[in-house]
Amino acid sequence: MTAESGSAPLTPARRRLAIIGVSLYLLAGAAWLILSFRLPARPVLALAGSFLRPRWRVTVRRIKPESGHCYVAPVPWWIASDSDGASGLELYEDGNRLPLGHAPHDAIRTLGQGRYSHWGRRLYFSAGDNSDPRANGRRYRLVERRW
Amino acid sequence: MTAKPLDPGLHAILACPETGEALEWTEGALAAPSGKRYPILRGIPRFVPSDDYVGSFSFEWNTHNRTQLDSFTGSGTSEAMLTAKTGLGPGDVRGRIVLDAGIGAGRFTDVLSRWGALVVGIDLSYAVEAAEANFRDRPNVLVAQADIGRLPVRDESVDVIISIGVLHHTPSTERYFKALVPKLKRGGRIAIWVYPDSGEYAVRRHWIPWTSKLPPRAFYEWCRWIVPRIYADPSRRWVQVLRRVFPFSDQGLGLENDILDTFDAYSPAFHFTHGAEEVARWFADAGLSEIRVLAVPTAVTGVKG
Repeated sequence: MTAESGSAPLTPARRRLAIIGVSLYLLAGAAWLILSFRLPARPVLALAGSFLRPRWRVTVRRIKPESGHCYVAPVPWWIASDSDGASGLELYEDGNRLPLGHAPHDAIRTLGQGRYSHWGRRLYFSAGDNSDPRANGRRYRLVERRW
Repeated sequence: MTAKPLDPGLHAILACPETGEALEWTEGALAAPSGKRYPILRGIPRFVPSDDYVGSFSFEWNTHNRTQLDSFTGSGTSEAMLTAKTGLGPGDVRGRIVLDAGIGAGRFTDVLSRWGALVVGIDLSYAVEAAEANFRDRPNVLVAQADIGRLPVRDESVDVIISIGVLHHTPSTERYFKALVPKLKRGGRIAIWVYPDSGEYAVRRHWIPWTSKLPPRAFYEWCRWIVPRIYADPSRRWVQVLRRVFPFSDQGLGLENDILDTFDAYSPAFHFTHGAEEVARWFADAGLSEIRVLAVPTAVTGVKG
């Protein structure tokens, strides 16, 4: 009777081999689980898709007030959002990136100050100074970050 | 090496898992009147010849033998988890016999024994080696290697049974739960927590047929490699996507715990998930009363009437 103590580490070469082997094995597993609809395909496809087409950059238009400091604008359905756990969109205000992405929607409404979130087919956002983005004269741009 | 000195309250607790006969402590073995003998190796009574289907636990608990023990980390995390998942406090166990079914390295036995309980910790895996080493100086802890579906414990001899995060790793969560109940005294309490059938537990269930086939050492090295990279910047997009399809442990208890817990989450041979109502029904079927579903999903307690 023996106990595997786990105390003997692998040599660096064997460790690299183990990591590569497990990574490849898990990639195959992920492909199988996604193709058999056991895992959500959308976040993975959206990430992969972002490498197969030009990077998405667009000026934010058709802005509407939502509640408090929060305004909304449409985003195409094929851009994965935080509801998929995978939004790669960054919001720029007159060329300056707003730092508080993936923000809770209540925080956007009550605190504002440039918080934003890409959720489903909408961008929820606030201006950096909580002004009305339809009337403050600034330009808002969305840029997709791949990684 | 023979067993360590034990609290007298624990001397008569073990029984032959086949016949139920009382066992006598002899040099190097526990002996039944029928002649059956169970060896005591490295101070631990052994009721199984190997660790069967739980080799991954043998590996992880001997690698991370103290990572989750409050006594060594100085935190109260395991104590808080024990209370949340069982509803038990020091007053419920002090001076009482408690069975920790699936002791692992002993994170909950560490708390229970400090609370003054007399603890019998059972595990099928070689985690018992780590547990015995951790509690060698505690006479109120008896560690044994056995199958919790065929417990070497006398019927109606235990005041409290806990099994936190263990039964869903057996071949049948319900059957193994029901095997615990006969060991409880009348008026004794049993508290279990099993994986809920939602969230990351449900996602991981799909992975188990793949990940459980990996050699433990190779998968562990992969966990050691990737988990620090994941948490270096969790906001990166590829990390968000990866976590969506392969949820990593994120308990906020430090990197070592997350490496251990990620390995723990994907490596077992069995990984079942259950609903709270389903678990409560097992309690009712087993004739238990005062059944309570606690605030933590699928943490259920009951009393033997």
